[in-house]
Amino acid sequence: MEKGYLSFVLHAHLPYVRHPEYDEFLEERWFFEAMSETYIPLLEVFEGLDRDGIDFRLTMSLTPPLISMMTDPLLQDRYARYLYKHLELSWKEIDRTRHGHHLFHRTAQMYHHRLHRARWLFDERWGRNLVAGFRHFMEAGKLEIITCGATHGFLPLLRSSHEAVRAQIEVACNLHEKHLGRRPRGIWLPECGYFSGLHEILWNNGIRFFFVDSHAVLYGDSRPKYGVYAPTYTPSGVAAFGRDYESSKQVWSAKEGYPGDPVYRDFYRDIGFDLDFNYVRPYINPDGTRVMTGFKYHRITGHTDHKEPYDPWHAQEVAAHHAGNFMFNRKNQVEYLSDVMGKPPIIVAPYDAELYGHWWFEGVDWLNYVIRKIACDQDSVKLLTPWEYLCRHPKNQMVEPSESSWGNKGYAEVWCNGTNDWVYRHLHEMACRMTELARAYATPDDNLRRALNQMARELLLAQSSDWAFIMNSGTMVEYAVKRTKDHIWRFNKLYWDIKNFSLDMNFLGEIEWKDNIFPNIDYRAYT
Amino acid sequence: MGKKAAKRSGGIRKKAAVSTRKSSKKVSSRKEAEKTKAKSVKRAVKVLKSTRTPKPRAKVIAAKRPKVKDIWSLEELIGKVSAMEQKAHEERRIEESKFDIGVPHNGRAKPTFDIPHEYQVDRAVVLTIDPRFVFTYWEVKHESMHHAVSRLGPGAKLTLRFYDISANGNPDASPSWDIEVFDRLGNWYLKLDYPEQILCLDVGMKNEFGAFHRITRSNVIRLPRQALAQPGPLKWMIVSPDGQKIISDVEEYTDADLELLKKILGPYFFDLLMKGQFASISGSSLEAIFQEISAFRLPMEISSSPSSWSSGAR
Repeated sequence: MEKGYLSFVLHAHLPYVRHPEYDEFLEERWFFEAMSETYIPLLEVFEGLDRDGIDFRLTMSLTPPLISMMTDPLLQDRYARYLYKHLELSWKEIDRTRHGHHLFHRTAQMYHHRLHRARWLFDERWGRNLVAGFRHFMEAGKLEIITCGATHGFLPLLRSSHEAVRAQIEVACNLHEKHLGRRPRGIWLPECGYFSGLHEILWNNGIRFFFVDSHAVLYGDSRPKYGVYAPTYTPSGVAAFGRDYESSKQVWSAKEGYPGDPVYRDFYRDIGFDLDFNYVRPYINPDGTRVMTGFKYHRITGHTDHKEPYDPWHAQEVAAHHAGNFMFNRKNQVEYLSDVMGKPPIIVAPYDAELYGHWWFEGVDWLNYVIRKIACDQDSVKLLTPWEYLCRHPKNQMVEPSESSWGNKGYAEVWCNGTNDWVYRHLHEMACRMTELARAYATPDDNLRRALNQMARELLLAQSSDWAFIMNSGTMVEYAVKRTKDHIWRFNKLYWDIKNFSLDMNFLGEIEWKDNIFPNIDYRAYT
Repeated sequence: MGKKAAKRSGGIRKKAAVSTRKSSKKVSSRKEAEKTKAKSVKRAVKVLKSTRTPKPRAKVIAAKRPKVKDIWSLEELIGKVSAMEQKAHEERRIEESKFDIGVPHNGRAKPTFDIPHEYQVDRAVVLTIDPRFVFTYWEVKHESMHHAVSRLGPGAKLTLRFYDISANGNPDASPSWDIEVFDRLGNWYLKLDYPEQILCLDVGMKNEFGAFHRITRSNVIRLPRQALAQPGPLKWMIVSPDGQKIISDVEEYTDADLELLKKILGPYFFDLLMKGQFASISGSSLEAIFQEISAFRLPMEISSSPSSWSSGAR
C-alpha cells in the first residue's frame, strides 16, 4: 500500500518560430533539436512503458505554440528534411569513426540508431504529428496533458490589462481543446507566474489546478498546514500545487544535480565546431555559420577543457544508478512525510521538458528508469497526476498563493530588468488598443474581422515571455528583439489602418501567412 | 560535522562537474551583456530613504542549526560570493540551453521597421519586480505638460509622486514622496522598505512652492509577501470533480501546526522560511541542504546523498 505520491510534471514549450519567407531559418533549429532529443524520445519511452505493462502517470504541458508547431505542415516538412540530413550525417559518422577510438565509433552507431528510430516514429508511427502521439497516451489514461498561456506570456507583468490576461488563458484552452479533444483540466502558468486574483480567470475557463513555486504556497495568505506536500485551494476553488524544492534541485542543479555527472555527455562539444568545415558544411547553417549538429562525442569529464570520449553504455549505467538514488530519496521522503503529516503527501517535481534529452542527454533514459523502478522496486511511492490526487482527496486547505514565479530569485526580475523592460510600455498599450477595437467592432465585415483577428495574433506573439528571457540571457538577443519589434510594428500598422479605414489587404495577407498561429482565434476574447 | 558527513560533502564536490567550454566569443558577449545589465540597473535604481518605521518583522523562531562562523575575511567573502554567482550562472545555463544552438546571434535577425517612440497618451504603470523592488514607466503628452505649466507657472517640474496606501487605500490621505524626473517618457526602478506595501503613483508637475498638479495616476500594486502569514484560522474546502464547492470546516491555528510545518520542512528550510529567504533557494548551499535532510530523516549509516551512491558507482 502506497504511503504517498510523486507527480512528475514536464513543461514542454518553445516559442512560435516559423519563417516561411526563408528556406531555412536558424532559430527553427530550436524546435528541430527539441523534437529529436526530447519529444520523440519521450514518446518512445511512453511506448516502451506501455508495451512492458508499466502503469505510469505523468503530467505534461504542451503549450499552444508547441502544439501549433508540431501540427504545422511547413514545419513538419522542414523537420523531416532536418531529420533525413542528420540520418545521412550519421552514416558518414559511422564511416569516419570506424578506425578511430572505439568509443567514438560506438557513439556514432548510437546516434544512427536513435535517428533511425526517430524517423520511424515521426514519419510512420505518428504520421508526422507528435500531438497525436501525446494524445494517444492521454486517452490511455497515462498522461495528463495540460495547457499554458496562449503564447507563454508572463502574466504578472501583463496584468495591467485584465483582458490581455484573460485572452492568454481563453485562447490557450480553445486551442488545446481543438487538438486534444477536451478542455484542459490543468495549466502550467507561464514561468509559474502567479498574482493575486488570477485564480478567477482560471476557474472561469474550466481550469481546476495549476502549479506554483514553493514560496508561493509557503508565503500564501494563510499558513499552509502541510507545506507544499498537499495542494491548497484558492478562493474560487482552483487547486495550487507547490513545487517540491528538494526533488527539483536534485535534478535541476547543474553542479550538484545529476546532469553534472562527469560521465554524462557534454552539451557544448559538438562536431559542428570541431570537424573540417567542408565535412560539416551541409549540416550547419546555410550561410556557413557553424552551429551544433547534435553529434557530440565527449563526456563532461570535469572542470577542464580536456574532454574524455563519451561512453554511452557507461552513461546509461550511471543514469540507472541516479534513477535508483532518486527513487530511494523519494521513498524516504514519502515515508517520513506520511509519518509526520498523518496523510499521504504528494511530491510535485516539475521540470522543463527540454532539460531531458536536450541539455541532459541521458535525462529521458533516467526518467524511464525512475518510472520503472518506482513501479517495480518499492511500494511506498506511487506516481499520480494532480487531477487523480484531487479526485482522491477533494478536501484541502484554502490558501491563496503569493505573487511569485519559478525564475531566478523567485519573482519577475528575469523578465523585467535593464535588458528587456522597454517591451512593457508597448505590450500594455497594444492590449489597450486591442480592447478598444474589439469593443468598437462587434459585427465587422469579413476583411475587418480578419484584420482584428490578426491584431490579436500579433499581440499574443509579442507577449511571449521567451523574448524577454532571451534578451536577459544575452544569446540570440537580436532575434528576440526582432520578433518583439516586428509584432509590435505589425499590430500598430493594422490598428492605424483600421482607425483610418484604409486596410491594406496585401499586407494583411502577408502577415497572416507569416504569423499563422491560432487559425481559429476570435478577437472578441478582448472585449 | 561527523566523518561520514564530511565524506558525503566531499563526495558532492567531487561529483559536481559541468562543462565550462564555450566559445570565447560567446562568453565575452554574455559577460558584456551582464555588465551592461548591471550598469543600467545601477543607473536606474534609486534607493529612497524613508522616515517611516518599517513594519515589525515576523518573529524568528530559533532552529537547531550548525554553528555558523560570524566573521569572514575579505578573501573568504569574495570566494563565497563568486562561488554563489557561479552556481546561479550554471543553473541559468540549463534554462537557456534550449535556445543555445552554438551561435550568439543570427545575421538575419533584423527588425523590419522601427516601433513607435511614444503613444500620445498620459499613462503611468507600476510593475512588481520582487517584494522590495518595483519598476515604473510613464508617458505624458506635451499638451498635458503645457496645461500643468499654465496652472503652476514656468518653474514647474515633472515629478513622480509615490503613495504608500497600505494603511487606508486612499492616495490623497496617505504618505507620499516625490522624485523629480526630466523626461516626458521614462522609467524608474524603486527599492522599497518592506514587502506587502500597497503602492501607486501620480505623474504630475510640481512648482517651487510645492504645489502639485496631477497629470495621470498609475495602477495600484501590492508587493508580495516575503514571510509566513500571520497565524489565523485554517479553512478547509471540498471541491468535487464536477466543480461543486463547500467550505467544510474552520480550525484555529495552533503551535502544534507550526511545529508540524517545521517537521515537514526540516530545520534548514524552516529557518530559510522564517528569514524570508525561501524564494532564493538557488543561492543556498546544496551541500548543507543534503546533509541537513540526511541528518533529520535518516540514520547516519544510510545516506540519501547522491554522492555516497555515485562514488560507489564508478
